[in-house]
Amino acid sequence: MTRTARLPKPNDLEISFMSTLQLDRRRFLKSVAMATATAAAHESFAATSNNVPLPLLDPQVSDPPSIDGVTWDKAPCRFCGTGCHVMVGTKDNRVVAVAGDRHAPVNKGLLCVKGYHVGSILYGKDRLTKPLLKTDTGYKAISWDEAIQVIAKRVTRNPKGFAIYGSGQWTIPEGYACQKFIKGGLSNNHIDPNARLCMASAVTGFIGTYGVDEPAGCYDDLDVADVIITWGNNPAEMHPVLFSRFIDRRSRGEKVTLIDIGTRRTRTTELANEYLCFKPHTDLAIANGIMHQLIVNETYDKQFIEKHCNFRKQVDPHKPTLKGAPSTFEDFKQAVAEYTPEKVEEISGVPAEKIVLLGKLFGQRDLRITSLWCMGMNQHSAGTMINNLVHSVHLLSGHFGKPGDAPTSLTGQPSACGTAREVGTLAHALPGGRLVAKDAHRHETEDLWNLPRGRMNPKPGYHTVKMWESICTPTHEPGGEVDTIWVQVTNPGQTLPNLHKLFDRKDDLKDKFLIVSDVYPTATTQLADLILPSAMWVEKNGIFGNSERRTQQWFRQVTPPGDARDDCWQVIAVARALFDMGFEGMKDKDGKFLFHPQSLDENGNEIPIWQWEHYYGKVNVDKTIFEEYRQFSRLKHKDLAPYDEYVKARGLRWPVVEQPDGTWRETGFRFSGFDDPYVRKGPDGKPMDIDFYHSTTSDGRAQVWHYPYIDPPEMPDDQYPFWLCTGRVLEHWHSGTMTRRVPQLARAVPRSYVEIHPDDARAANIGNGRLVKIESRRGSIVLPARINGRGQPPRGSIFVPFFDETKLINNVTLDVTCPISKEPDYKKCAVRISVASSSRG
Amino acid sequence: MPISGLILTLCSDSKAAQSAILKCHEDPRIEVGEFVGLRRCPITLTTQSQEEDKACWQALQADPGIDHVDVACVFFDDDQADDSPKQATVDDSDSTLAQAQ
Ligand code: SF4
Repeated sequence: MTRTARLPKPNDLEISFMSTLQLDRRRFLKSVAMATATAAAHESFAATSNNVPLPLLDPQVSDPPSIDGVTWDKAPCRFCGTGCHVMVGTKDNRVVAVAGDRHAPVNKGLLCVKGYHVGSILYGKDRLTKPLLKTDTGYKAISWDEAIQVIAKRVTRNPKGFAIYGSGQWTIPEGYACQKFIKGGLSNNHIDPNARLCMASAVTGFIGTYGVDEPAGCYDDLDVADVIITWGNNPAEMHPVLFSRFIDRRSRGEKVTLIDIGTRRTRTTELANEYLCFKPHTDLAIANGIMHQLIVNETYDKQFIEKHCNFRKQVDPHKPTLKGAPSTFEDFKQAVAEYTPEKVEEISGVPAEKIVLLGKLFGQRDLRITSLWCMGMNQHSAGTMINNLVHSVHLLSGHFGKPGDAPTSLTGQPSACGTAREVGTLAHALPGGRLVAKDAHRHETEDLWNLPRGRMNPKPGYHTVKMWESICTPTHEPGGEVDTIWVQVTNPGQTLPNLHKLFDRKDDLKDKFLIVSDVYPTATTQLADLILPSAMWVEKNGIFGNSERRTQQWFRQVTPPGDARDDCWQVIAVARALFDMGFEGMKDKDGKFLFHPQSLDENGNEIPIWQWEHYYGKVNVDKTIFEEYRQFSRLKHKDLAPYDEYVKARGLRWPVVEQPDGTWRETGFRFSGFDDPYVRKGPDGKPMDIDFYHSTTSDGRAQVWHYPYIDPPEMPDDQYPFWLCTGRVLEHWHSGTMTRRVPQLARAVPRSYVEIHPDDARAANIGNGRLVKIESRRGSIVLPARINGRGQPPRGSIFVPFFDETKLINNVTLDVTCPISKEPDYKKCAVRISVASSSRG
Repeated sequence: MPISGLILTLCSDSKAAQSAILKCHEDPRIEVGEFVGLRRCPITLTTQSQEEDKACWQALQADPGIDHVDVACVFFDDDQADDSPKQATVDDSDSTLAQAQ
C-alpha cells in the first residue's frame, strides 16, 4: 500500500479554520507541509528567464499556509549570499515556522538544509543576554549604560587607535552606521569587514576589468546557460538553491552541461559532465590555456574585442598593481603562446584534451556559458589575477552581456555585496564606490554627512590582516597603534589565518582591548574584554544585499532575548555618549549629533534613538539610514530605490531607476543596452549593445588581462609534502557559531575532520576515523580521518572544514595575501600528516 | 520535532530513482506526494527524535537515486519550540562563556 497523500491543488492552499479544528495538529501541519512542497515543486525558475520582472508584492497577500495564530512576514535567509527569501511564521513572540517564499524570484519557494533550520538559530540555549565585562576574577554582568561608557572611554583615550571589524553579515544600516562612526566621527579609517577574507579578490577583479565592482549578470543566467562552469566552486553544497535552478532544468530534460574545475571531488562533481581536477593555484595556467586555444584556433570574438576591449598586463608580475599597464593584442598573443595544452597539463595536471575541450566550448558563439566562482578563486594568493583572467576568458570569447553568458562571482555571506562592497565598509573605501584617498570623494562624503571640510582622513586604514597584526603588536612598537577593536557579527578568533600570530598574542598585551558584539559565545569572545549581546535576524529590522545585486528588506518579527540589542543601536548609543562628552568628531559642522538626520521622525522632531526604549518607536532607523545612504548609490550608477519600495518587493537588483510612471525598475544585466538604463546611446540614437561606462581607460571598454602562472609562495616539499585546502560543509555556515547550535545540524556534522585520499591514507597507515596530526610551519592540529566521504581530495592533498571552534585549522594555515586585494589564501599551504594516536576519533 | 515539506529531485537513471522512491515509501517517517513532472517529488518528513532527523537527511542526500533535496517549509512542533534551547547540542565545554554567565 502506498502512502501517497491526497493533496490540495497547488494553488489551493487556503485551509479553513474549521478544517483546522477537525484535524489533529500534526496531521494538519503535515498536510500543509505537503501542499507547500507540492506547490514549490510546481514552480519553475525558467518562468522568469529572459525577462526582468519587478517582483513587487505585498507580503500580506502572499500565500504562506494559513495556520491558526501564526503571523507570517518576509525576510531573506540569514545564511549565504544566495539570498533566498523566507516566509517566517511567528506565534507568541517566537519563530514557529519557516517556508520558502514562492514569490521570490531567487528561490521560488525553495530553501536548503540551512534555510530549513534558519528559525532555530535564534534559540540556542547559550544566547548572550547581558553585557559582560572581563575582570580579574572572570566576567561580570554590567548594564548597557556602563558598557556604553566603557567603550566611549576607550575611544576618547586614543581615537586614532580605535578600530571596528565587521562582516558581510552586518545589515546595510549597521555597516553604514559603523562606517560613519569611524570615518566621519573618528577620522581614522580603521574599519574592515571579514569580507576581506572572502570577497576582496572578486572586488579587485571586477574593478581591474570593468572599473566598477560586482557582477554584470544575475541568477537568471543559470536558467538559460548551455554550459555552467564552476571554478573551484561547490554550489551543490555552498549555494544549494542556486544549484537547484540547474537541477530543475535537467529534471525537465533540458541539456545543460556542467563542468567542474576543482581541486577536490564534491557533491557538485557528482552531477558534472566533466570534472577537471587541477593542482592548487594552477587555475592561472588553465585560464591562460583557454585563451591560447581561442587565439590559435582563431575562435576569439574579434568583433567584441575590437569594439569593447583593451589589453592590459603587469609590468612586473611579481609586483602587480590594480591597473597594470596598457598592452596590445600582439603582446597578449605572444604572452599566452606558451600556454599550449601540453604545457598547461604539465603545470596543472588537467589533461591536454580537456584544455582543448574548454577552448572549443568558449570558441562556440552559439553556446551560452556562465562561469561561477566563490572562495576557490578569491582566497588565493593570486586572487585578483585569477579573477581578472576568468573575466578575460569571457571577454576574449565574447561570452558576455547576453542572458546566460556571464562571469559571475558568488558571495558566501548574506550581505557581502550589500554591506561590505556597496556600503564600502573597507579600510580604503567610502559608500557608493568612493575612495578615502581621493579628495573629491571625501569632499562629497563630507557634504552628504554635513561634516566640516577636512574632517575625513585621506589615509586608508588598516586592512584585516594588518588590523589584527596591529592589535597583536605592543603599542609602543611600530605598527602597534591599534589598541581597541570592536568586533561585530563575525568570529575572527576562528577565521583569521595564522591565529597564533594574528589573534592569540593580543592576550599578553594588557593595554589592548577587544569588544565583541555577538549572539553566542565564540572563539573570539574567549579573548574579549567586553562582550555585548546582540539581536539577530528577525529580532531586528534589516536590509541585506545578495550576490546578484539584490537589496532585500525585512522588519523585526520577534524581540531579542534578555538585554540583547541591535548592533546598529549599539554604535549610535556609543556615538551619542561621545557627543554628550563633547567629543568633536560626533558633531556635524553645525554642532549637531552625527546621527541627527537618522533621529528625525516624519515631522522633523528629534527622537532620542540612542535610548533603547525609543529605538523602535516613532522612527524607523533602518529607513532613515537607508535614505541617507541611497544618495551615495547614485554616484556610481548603483542606484537604490526608496526604502518603501523594498518593503513591497522581494528584493530589487540595482541600478533601480524610477520610470516616467513613477514605478521603479530593477536591472538584471549590467552594461547591456537591452537592459541597463545607464548604457549610453550610439550614433543611431539607440542604446549601444555593450557599454562599460566605468571603464578604467575612460573609453567604454573593459580590460582583457594577461597574467602568467607563477608558483605560489608555499608549495609541498620533502618536509611538508601535502597541500592543505580548507573550506565549508553543507550543514554549517562559516565558523558554525549559529549552525552548531541547531541540534540537527550539529549532530549531522558535529566535529571537524580531515579528508584524505585512500592511497595516501594507506601509505601513512591511516584508517577511517583514525586521529591524524596535521602540521605546517605555523602550527598543528589533530583530527579524525575521513576517507571516501562526501568530499574526496586527490592524492597529495587533504581538506579540512573550518566550522569547528574546538579544532582551529587556522592555526595551521598561511597568512600570505593576494598582493592587490590583501585577501589571505586559505586554499593552499604545505603540511605533513601522521598518525596521532591509535585510538579512533 | 520538525515537520517539513521537502522536494526530491530524482536522478535520470530510472532504476536508481525508482529504488529511491521505494525506500521513501517504506520509511514511516516519510510521506510521498504526487510527482511533479518526471523527476520532482514532494515529500513530508516527520521524525520522533533529532537522531532520526539526521539519519533521514543523510540517507536522502546520499541516495544515488536522488540528485538534490530542496526544502519548501518546516514547522517546528510545539515540543520542539519549547525544548530546543535546552537541547542545543554544542558541548558545554565548548561554550566558553557558559560559566561566565
Ligand atoms: S541557499 Fe543560502 S540563502 Fe538559500 S536557504 Fe540555503 S543558506 Fe539560505
